[in-house]
Amino acid sequence: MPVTQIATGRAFSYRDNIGQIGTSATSLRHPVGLARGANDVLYVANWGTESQGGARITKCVMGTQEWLADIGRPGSGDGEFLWPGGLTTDLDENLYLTDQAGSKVVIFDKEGGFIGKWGEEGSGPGQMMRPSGIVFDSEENLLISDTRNHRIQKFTKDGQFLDAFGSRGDGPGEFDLPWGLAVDGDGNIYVADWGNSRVQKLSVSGLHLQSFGEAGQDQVELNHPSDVSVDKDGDVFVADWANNRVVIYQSDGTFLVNLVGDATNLSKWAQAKVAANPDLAKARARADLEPEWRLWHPQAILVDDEYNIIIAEAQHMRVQIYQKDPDYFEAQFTL
Amino acid sequence: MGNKDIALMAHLMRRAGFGASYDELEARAAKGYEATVEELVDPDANGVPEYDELTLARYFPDMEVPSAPAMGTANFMYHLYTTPRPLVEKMTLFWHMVFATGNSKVDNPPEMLQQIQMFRDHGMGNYKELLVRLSKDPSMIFWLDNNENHKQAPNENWGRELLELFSMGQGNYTEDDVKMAARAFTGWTILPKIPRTPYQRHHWKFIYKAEDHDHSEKTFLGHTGRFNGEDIIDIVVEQPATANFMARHLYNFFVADEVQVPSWLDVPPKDPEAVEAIAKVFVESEFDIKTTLRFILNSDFFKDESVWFAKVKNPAEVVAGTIRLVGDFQEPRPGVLPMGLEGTYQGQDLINPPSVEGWHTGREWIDTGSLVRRVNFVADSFSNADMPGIKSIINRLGASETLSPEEVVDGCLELLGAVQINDETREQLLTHVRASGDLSRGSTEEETQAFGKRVTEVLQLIAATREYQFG
Repeated sequence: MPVTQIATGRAFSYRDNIGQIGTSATSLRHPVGLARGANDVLYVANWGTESQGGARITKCVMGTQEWLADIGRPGSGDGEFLWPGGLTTDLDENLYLTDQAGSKVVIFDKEGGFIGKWGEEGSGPGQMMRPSGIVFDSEENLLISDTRNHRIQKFTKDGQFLDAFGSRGDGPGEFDLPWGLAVDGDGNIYVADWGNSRVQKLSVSGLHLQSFGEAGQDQVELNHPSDVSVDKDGDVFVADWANNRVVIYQSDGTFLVNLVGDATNLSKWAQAKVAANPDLAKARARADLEPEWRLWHPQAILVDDEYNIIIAEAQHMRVQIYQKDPDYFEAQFTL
Repeated sequence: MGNKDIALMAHLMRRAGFGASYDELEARAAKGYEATVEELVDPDANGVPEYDELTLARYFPDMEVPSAPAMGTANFMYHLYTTPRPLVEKMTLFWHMVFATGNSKVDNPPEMLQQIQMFRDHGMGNYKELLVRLSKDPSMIFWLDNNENHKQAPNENWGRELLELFSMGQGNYTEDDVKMAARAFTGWTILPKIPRTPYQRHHWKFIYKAEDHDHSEKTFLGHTGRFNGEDIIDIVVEQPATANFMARHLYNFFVADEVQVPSWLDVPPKDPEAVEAIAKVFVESEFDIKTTLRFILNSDFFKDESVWFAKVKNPAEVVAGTIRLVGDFQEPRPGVLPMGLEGTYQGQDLINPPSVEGWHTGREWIDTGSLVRRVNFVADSFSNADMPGIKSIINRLGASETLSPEEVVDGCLELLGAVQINDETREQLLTHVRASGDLSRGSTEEETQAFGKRVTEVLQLIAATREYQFG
């Protein structure tokens, strides 16, 4: 497959990847959440492992791949979390992370200092069961996928309950284990409705407006999507988790293209490991590496204002980065 | 209490699954024995949902594709205690114990789990097809060196174990047959592997290399031809020894403990007629495992009370059975690693048997260390009155305002799955309970808690009995 996918007036080109397997510093371990900071900073929430640890937020520079810090650690105390579900930042670049195991939100400043936490397990208003997706709306309130209560809840950033919408089901405005969330420029809400294999678009007040995708494996279909992001043009990017790809739709739901992963190059962190082990390099030269290039459980997706499409692969310990050209046209030339 | 239908159902669920709560036993008994067997044997036809692998992958990414062996162990154990299809999982365990493949050499837990999944998907299908799949399984190929089995330099490891441990059993073939089988499987190998670093392990892939296969004529078990691997399996499954050997394995796993496999050459089966009957069905059904299981579970020799509690529970049964009984992990939660390791500590390191011969079973599961470990695990689990399964037992007993020591002990034994103990053990339990007199459920929260505590004490004492180690 080409590393640039073409759609009407757009091109999506593979750029680079960041990561390698590990539990600290220049590595990722089951990355599941993404957030952008100023100065090309990227935050990646890592699930880690129950046997070896590694749950943390990795702070790095996207372009240079410079590792800056590990934020948080596994546990249930202050500044600790076990099952990170989603990550987002406020206008001050404070980090808000859902901890599914603790049914809480954990907050850090951009230097990694612990600010606070809130959240209570349960199914009453304002209580949560395994919260996952998290995003700020246009009024800087937090929307959270209250996954195992099958609803979306709205809170102030310090945890005051404001609203809830949705219930378990497969009808419009109903959810089955919702996961990632996004908000577009008009304040509309997008929900990766995991169990229903679709993305739902809701109004600011939670009314169903539109659905993207149906259950299946054809290129326009979805299989348990885990996250969604909307760029400033309104294109909708879906992490099609169980189909191991990204599906991109126009705002009206028209299918554009799939991204299936193109990481034929090693990340800078990975290069260091391979360069230090000639046997590893030889073994890689003998093997068909295509399974390694491809996306494997793309769990989180984030399209930033510079049209970087950042995809966290839960099973490949890296993020793949694509770039959207929003003004692509097919040049008339002869090669 | 003391219902015979429940007791028989409890026996079925211990053997064809990993036990069941009393609520489940009652529901199944009401449905009927044969109907329950049918549901266990053919879950697809009876509307039983498939295992929810997606939820496992969502909440346990480190267990879906484990880098640490212990997380691979945890994955298999998690399936045992969360499956809606207990017999499918029990047969997966059966094949893992017969076709024993170990991560100690394979050194790739995700690949080991692929083999386990193959058992899960096909372990109740056709035995001949299963052997072909096993011959192409990358973990097995690596475990028994078939990737080192070349036309110019045959390696006999796979060919030998195929005959000795996976089909016919010792004494039914010659060394020449082993050599011919090995030559027939030359060229059955795996593609070069993607290294586990820098990103992640990837599954290995089988490949048949015709250029490395020995295409010459071979004579195997009296047949002559230019045999390839499938031909060898065709011949092997037609041997009466194969049906007898697999029938004895099934009897040993489902009905009653036999001596260890290496002694089968010298020691006759415990119940030759039963083994013969199983073998007959196996052959007549053209090696259909489902048909054979249906026959075993509905047979008189399986239902006979003499074989109830005639097997020492293996550690996987102890761990998975306890978790299912107390009702833990009904929702995904952290803590799967210690559940997997618990089996390891009790002597059964899932996905890592000690050798190709598998684990020694029966009374060899028990030594002083493993006994203390299994008793402590079960007793600790039974001590938690907040667990739904334990809460249910307490509530059922609490339906009566006051219980005599006899009613408490007999009630606990019944609610744990119609557990049978001898008179001496029962008297010891009664002595403990009598020391504190009758049990009253009381009316205040404090009294209710005290009632629950006394019940859990009895449950823990039962867990420590000799009889509770049998299933």
